[in-house]
Amino acid sequence: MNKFDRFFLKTYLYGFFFVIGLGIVFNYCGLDDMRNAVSPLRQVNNVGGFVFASWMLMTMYLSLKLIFSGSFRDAVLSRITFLKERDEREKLFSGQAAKTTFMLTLAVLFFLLSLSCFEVSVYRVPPEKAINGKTGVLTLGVRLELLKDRSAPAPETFRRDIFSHTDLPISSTALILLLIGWQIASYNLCMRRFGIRS
Amino acid sequence: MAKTPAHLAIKNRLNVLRAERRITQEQLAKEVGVTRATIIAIEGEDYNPSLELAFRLARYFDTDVQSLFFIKEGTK
Repeated sequence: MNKFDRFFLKTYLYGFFFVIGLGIVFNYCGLDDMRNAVSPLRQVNNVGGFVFASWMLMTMYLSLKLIFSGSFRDAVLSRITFLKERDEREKLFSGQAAKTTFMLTLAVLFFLLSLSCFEVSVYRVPPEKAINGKTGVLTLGVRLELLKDRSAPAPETFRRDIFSHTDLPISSTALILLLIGWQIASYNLCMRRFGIRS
Repeated sequence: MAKTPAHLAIKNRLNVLRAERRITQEQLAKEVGVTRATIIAIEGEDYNPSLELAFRLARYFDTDVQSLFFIKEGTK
């Protein structure tokens, strides 16, 4: 890691606490109040906005650097994930833990894919809309959308849903955070298990 | 077709040689460039070292690899 990246990383990490502090101040004072306030609160708003914009730019730069620079990735992510490879035995276990984590994550992703694709609905329709005299309806479907469809179909107003599953119940941000946490936890648990065995 | 051999258990005399030289696991680990946990694992026969580490250990004890590591057939 060169000096420039080290400086950038430190500024980014310390800036993170500053950004959190700003978020608390903005939340406490209210964004509109801050914009219309007289100095020095207005100055805080202006400086805070600039700092936040810089921090966002740094986030993008560092994220891209993590993807494209192998040495930077190794230096930063090995600290975040508590990766230990001090000798050949730890390297062997690390490889086994990485393999187990990869397989587990793949299995979880398959499960999440099926959850996001399958559609299951159980609902009742009014007697005049009954099918063969039956008012209870079960519909099954598979929806494989590669792009987000913003125009959702209008719901049938006459049906009374009993159970309906159409998509993952969590947001994409929560899902990404969950997968990051899963990867780190799985790797470290595997390392601990191999370590105890040996 | 050759008969598949029984389970080959790799044994070692690392703890004997270490005791003769009166050195600690920590010292040996430092000398051959591994962690103490690895020395413990090798002595406990839970881990078979790489060829490179086996040669490094043999060189440190001024012996050859075969006298440091040997095979016992059919035992674990």
